[in-house]
Amino acid sequence: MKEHDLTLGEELRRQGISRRSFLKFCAGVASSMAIPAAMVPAMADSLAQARRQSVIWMAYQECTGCIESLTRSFAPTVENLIFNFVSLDFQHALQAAAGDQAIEALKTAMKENWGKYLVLVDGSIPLKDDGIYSVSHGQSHLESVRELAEGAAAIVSIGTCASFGGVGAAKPNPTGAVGIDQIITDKPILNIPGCPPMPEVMTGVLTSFLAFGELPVVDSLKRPRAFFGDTIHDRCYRRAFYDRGLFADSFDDEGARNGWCLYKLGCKGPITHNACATLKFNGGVSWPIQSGHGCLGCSEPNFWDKEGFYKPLSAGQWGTAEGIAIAAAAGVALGAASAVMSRRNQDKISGGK
Amino acid sequence: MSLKDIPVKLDNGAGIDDPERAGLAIALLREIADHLLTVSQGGDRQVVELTNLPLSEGDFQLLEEKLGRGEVEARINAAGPTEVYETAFPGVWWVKYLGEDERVITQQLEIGTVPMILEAHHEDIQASAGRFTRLFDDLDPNHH
Repeated sequence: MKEHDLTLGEELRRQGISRRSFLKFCAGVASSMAIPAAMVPAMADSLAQARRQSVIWMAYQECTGCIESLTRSFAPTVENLIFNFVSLDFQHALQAAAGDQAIEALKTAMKENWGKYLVLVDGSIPLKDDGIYSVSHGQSHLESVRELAEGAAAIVSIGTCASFGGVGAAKPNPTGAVGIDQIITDKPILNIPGCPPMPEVMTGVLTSFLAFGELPVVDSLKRPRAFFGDTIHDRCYRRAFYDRGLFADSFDDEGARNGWCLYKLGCKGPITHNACATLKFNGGVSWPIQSGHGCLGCSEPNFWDKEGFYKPLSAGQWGTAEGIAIAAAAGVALGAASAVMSRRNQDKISGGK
Repeated sequence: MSLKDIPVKLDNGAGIDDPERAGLAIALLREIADHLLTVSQGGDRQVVELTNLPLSEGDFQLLEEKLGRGEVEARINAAGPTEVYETAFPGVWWVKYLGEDERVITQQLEIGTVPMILEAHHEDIQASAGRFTRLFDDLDPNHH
């Protein structure tokens, strides 16, 4: 019997992986996706009935940072289970095959799973001059993504470049680079931005696609709400200092050493949606704000062109109105008084602008 | 100048360890009380996910202190270790799912007769029943 014919439950049993391991995996995913823990057994049952998913991963105008991040996920034993759930049929950086053989594998996977395969993409795609600025195996990436999209069940854009154009699209954007959803408009597309994106999000999205048969609920920028529903600021452990008006004024001053809020040093936490504050990076070791640097806003569109990673939000192009309104609204949830105080602090910082 | 000349100060994330912030733990204790009542009346297993809540060290201390330790402790080896113990309140279990590196992946309070991860599951029992009969192949006197 071919491996695609077995259900995931049968496949796990064949490999001697116990139901306990499986439930533990589901508990981990459910926790990261804010799926109620009581649903874990049902999720495991449904996942056990699913079939192995064909996945084709295309790397376009990218730096390989995304796959570096994703192959270093947080808990190898648990996370590795995901590799039993998918059949990674093409990934040029990971596969042994190269050249014609690799393309052969790609064509075969497409043919055998037409209409059902999942396309993962990292990197942006240049549109200028018919996309000639980014080519693999004699085919422009523009042509490649159109061809692949035709037979895809869904597309997942991994990283900020595939989601929003990213660094490739930075001014003056010489290649006319764009994100995938600006080219493909007739397929379900999900964006997992971040530079790099968080591995847990990838695991969560794939698992819920297999367990529930569809991509998870997304926000207006097509990002899974479970991971991108809150701002960094909402979940930041330094938030208490913001609310009390305690800020670092320069790197390595008393405030910085005390771990106070980095808002004045340009932290984009209040308007950046991502899960770094709770999931962290490098196996939970740390994340940018914990290492003393403000958030750059890497999971938001055009973050690279907004001038001034070190300018406070209220002074920069990130929009006084939006930034402050969001920070104030978040403040309301914690108590009206702190919102008023937050706004006063922001006015103070921006000189009342 | 070498790397050693650059002073390094470890930042464990100031604010995380603030013991005064235990308000959430008190709210959680009330939720657990509700769940325990449900289960005591024959209701389904209830689960409280702790990992996603912005619990402070103080919250965890309060929870651990109030819930205490009961009769059962177990360590499960399935996709890395999992630690389970019953609190001083029978039916309230503390479950810590750990990675191979002992880091907590997620932790939950389960309110019910036995935590999910501790039970033997139907699928595994089926497989084990199939495997068990093979024991007799070796014991069969005609086999040798």
